[in-house]
Amino acid sequence: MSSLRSRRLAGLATVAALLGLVVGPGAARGGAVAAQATIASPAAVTSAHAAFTKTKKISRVNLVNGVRKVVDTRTVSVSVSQTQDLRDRQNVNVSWTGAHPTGGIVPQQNSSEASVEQYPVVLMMCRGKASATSGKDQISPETCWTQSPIERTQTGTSLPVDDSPDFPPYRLDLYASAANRGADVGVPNPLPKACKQFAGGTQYWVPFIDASRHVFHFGPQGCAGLPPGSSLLANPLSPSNTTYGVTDLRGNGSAKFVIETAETNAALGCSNTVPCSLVIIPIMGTSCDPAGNSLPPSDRPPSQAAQAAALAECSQTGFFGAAAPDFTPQAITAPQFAQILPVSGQLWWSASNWRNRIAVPLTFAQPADACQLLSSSAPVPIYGSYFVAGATTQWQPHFCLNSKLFQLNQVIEGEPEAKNLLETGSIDAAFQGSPPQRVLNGGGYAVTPFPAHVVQAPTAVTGFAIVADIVNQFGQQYKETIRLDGRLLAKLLTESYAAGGIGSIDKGLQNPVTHKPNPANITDDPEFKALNPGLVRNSPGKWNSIGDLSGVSPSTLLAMAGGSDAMWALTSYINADPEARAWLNGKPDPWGMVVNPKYKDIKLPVPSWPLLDKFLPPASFISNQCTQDNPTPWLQLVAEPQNSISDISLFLQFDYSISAVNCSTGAFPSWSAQGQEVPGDTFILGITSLADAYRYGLKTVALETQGGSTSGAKFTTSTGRSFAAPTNPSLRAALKTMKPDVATGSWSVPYSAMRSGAAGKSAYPGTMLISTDVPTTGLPKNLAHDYSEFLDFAAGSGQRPGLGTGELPAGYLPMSAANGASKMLAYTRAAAADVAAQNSQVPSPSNPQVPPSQSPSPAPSSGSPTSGGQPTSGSSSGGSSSQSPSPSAGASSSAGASAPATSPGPTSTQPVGLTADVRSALSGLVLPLVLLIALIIATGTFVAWMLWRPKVSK
Amino acid sequence: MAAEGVEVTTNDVQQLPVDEVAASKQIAGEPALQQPPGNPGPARLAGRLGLILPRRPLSPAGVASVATMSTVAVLGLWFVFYALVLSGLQENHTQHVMYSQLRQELALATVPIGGAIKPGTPVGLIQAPEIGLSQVVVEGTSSADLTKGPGHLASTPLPGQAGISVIFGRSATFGAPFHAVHDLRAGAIITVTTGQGAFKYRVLDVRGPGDPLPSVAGLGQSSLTLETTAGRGWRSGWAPNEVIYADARLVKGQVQAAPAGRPAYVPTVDDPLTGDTTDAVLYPLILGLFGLLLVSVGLGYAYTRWTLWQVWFVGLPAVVAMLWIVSNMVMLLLPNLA
Repeated sequence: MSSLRSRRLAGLATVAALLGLVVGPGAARGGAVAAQATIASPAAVTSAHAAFTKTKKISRVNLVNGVRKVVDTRTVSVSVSQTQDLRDRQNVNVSWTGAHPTGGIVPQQNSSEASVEQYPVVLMMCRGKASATSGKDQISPETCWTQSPIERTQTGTSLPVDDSPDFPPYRLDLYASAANRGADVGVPNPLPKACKQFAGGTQYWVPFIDASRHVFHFGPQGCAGLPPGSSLLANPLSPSNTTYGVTDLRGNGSAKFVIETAETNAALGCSNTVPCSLVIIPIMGTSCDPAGNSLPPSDRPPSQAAQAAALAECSQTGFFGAAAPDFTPQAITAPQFAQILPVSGQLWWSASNWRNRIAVPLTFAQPADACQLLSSSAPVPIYGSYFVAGATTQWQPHFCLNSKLFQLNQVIEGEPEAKNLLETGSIDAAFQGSPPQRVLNGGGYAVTPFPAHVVQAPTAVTGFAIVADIVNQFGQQYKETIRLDGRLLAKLLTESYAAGGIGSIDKGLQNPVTHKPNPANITDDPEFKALNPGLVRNSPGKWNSIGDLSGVSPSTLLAMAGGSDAMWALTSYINADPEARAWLNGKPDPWGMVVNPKYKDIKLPVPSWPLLDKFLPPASFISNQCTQDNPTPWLQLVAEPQNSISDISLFLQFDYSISAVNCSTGAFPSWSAQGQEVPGDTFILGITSLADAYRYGLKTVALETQGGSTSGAKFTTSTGRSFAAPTNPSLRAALKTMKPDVATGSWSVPYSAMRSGAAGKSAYPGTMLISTDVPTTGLPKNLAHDYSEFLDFAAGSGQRPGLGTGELPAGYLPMSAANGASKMLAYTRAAAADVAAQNSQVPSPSNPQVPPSQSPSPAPSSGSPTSGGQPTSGSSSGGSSSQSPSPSAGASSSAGASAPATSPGPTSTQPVGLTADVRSALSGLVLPLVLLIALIIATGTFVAWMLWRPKVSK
Repeated sequence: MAAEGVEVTTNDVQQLPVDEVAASKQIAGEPALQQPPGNPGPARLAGRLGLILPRRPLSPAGVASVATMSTVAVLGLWFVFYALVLSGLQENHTQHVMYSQLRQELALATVPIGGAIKPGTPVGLIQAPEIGLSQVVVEGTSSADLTKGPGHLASTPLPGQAGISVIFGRSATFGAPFHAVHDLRAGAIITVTTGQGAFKYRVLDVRGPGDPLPSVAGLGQSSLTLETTAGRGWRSGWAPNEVIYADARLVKGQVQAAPAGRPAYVPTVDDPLTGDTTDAVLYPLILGLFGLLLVSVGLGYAYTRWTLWQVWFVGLPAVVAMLWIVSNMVMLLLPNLA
């Protein structure tokens, strides 16, 4: 009795936990703010938001002997790429001109040690309104976020002269108030116990006030309390977004800035209800006032000598004077140098720097949990593709905040898995990137039709993006677009690069004829160098140079583990490339590199990339606790595919190499990731969604569309080959080449056909059409109605580009007639009607027809589209916007209500599927055979016995 | 009867078998003993029928081969008999024991309702009055599990829980609990009683290879599929070779929550139409064969010391027991759904 109850309770708790896990990640892809919509044109999103620009004149002034002497004055103008509808972890680009060149550059500009740079441009997020000059919304150093204590604490160490108290530069700040020029500013009284060891001298603490008005004093080494999210490490696992940007000699500079809302940084607490700003402080150096005439005597240097010494220290100009010296690499990148405090980034809070700030107002999209908090209805789930999650993030609030609609919920899952669940009836709707793939008898996979009664309604046109994260020694992302062809991608995926130099040991990675080992990574590959001549290696003076690449990340492509339709698309693309296919079949490339023998002749495409190389490195190559306790194939550690595609985006954004080739010792030696790569040594390639590439500012790669040959001739340039990067025009070109496939019931990207002809030359081969699969039979009425409304929305106003609620973000090509998606829109509308009616019918992609007996209630089933290419006579696309006010409604004909009276067409009466023929010859024959043999033998024996007699001995 | 005129010279204690006596008498020219009138001996019958061949005596090799052949024939017939009849008795007994066990466990609510359940544990009772089905269902679908009665496929939810629950059953041997499943008609009611209550399912269809699949159930609904084999024509009833399915949808009963821990897949021995050829069956089989051999040798030896009746009295149960065990093991090697 009690055990039954406890068992039932445990069961219910488990179900509740499981539901929570299901609903949570889906709802974590939040919503957009409702009221912003300032987008007028349906042009590409990046140009729809005007960048924020501001110009300010800043100066450094010394007050010596009562005379103000201007040391330096500059006019700085900054530009921020996006300041509205911002989402968590979104990347914005900040660029500026006219600033003071930076000295003592620290490559890792996000780390706290970059604060010692001379004349950096400090970028930080602060709570408060940019326009507020007083009151609780005012921005102050206390509401600005920095991660480590050294960025907000100074324990003065100026050069004391004859026992006088310290007068470090910030104490001589001309523009600081009298209170802030005291001996101990911001030090709490009583001093916390942990801080007693740091007592003495001049101290300046800048406390931090968090969103709930709690004060954290920080203190030297954080002795007085640190807020969550702060760190004492120089390079913590989750880096801060406070950036110390680098300005070049001409005064120009740019930096990536990562926006953090309350989801990532709860202490700062920025959200759509808490105003925040991006504060840009171009450091000019402390303006010195050594005399301090308006101050009490204790706050002034006591003697003339002390004044002079303090002034000398305060007016230092670092490596750069008013006239910059010649450009010498050593001066710029000297890693160990004494900090020049007056011009260092650590004094951003000092009044003379603080008054030079430029505050950029920011507005945020609705937080991720908006739907959870505001909507109380049960979620309507759609399982599947990460590649449409960027769009559903913005679509969700449109549904959940409308009381007449429902709570849409996307559960991120691999597409093959979601399709499987749909076929078995465990779920009701899925997002797919291609029709279901099934394994064939002789190996390999083929696309098969869905069991009928399931529509595959085009919902979004997007694609996968190959991202290159290459950072030079100055912390700058490599600006040129990297080009890759199918063979290079094949080399990366098939673990054919001899990562770490294992080619000399692993015979499989050597050319069988010449025994020359394969290149260690892609930058050593002559094919890569031929396609990307601009990427220079090991030229320290050149801005576009990358370093020695000691890590193994350039030997592999960071990809998704598990099944994914993006992997299907990528391998389809590689398979259609004759050059790559010949290489995979064993033909060496012109420089002798061979495919990893484990992958030779691999049948492509596949929905999930297998890790086939099992070579265990010998002790001579690598020997540590991990190889002894946990021997693992080396190249699999290098490849380290990820379960979650959002992790791939995270690693690419923060230069994190996840290849698990480090052995972390301790109680349990285990393989661990290489970690964050250092600028100059950063080269990571990965595959992620196009929406993520836009959101996080990742640099995409241009893929080869046509060209190449299997002749085996070496080449040094990319002549004869054409490439396409993922942009709206190249997606549009690809969309125009997609043909409906009646056999599978959906559209397919014609990878082979794209390799020839003018249409395919500029088409991006990584294009994916994301479709929604919903059955048209067996659904409860309410659920069917909800899915039908979603499909109508996706074919209508959901395709409007923008960053507001219900709009289509960057990374998705709007489906419209102008972009060649009229048939797809017609299919989706017809599918919406079929789903609502639950009539077991599925539209045909080549001729989508709305079902005839359709009542004209909410679904705007606007009738027959163009079939076979000729325009429907009498269709005027003018007045059809009665239901969906979308400007890009495609070929919606206003004669919708009357058109479908024509032949309903052969309604597909294909069965859901056929029962498999499972037979066993054994079970059908064993008993009969045994019986037959037994009877034969029995008969024979009987006859024999009756006719002969045994011999009798007398 | 001049019985006293016959001198049977025997030096050993053994008595000649009766027919040898008769044979020796025939050689001696005397009429055969104890021939009731009107009942000719087999030789006479063969002679009358004209089938007599020259009565050459059989060599010892011939005797041995005849004996072997007859043994093989007997074994074959025994095996068929075991498969079709005796295994049913075994299953019947197991069902009887499990029924009492299940009744008690249902009352105490200790019937497993989810998670990883030990194969062979009774998990419910399935009844379909229309075809006279009333069996205790065990967990697991390997050959060994299905000798006890219908088995529940471990990677599917239990009946009454959301999803498609699959139950396998034999249709020819071991009581053939599902032999009448192909007679189910759409609309028939199947009742399954588990630790979570009694659930009534309505049959949608019975389908074989090439038949259309039923419609997809919605999320959160409960369906039941009975899976067994059937044979056409001369095969029906005893030599089934193709898998058939009966699909049913829950019509009465609340869909229950399923505890976590259900395995995502089952070992290959639990797949349909697979026999269990693992060591778990092969080792006992080899031991059983050894046992049979020992018993036979022992009986052969006992035959030299005991009388025939004694040998039969001791030997028959021993041999039958060993044969039963060995046949059981051999049946496990065969496909599980047959």
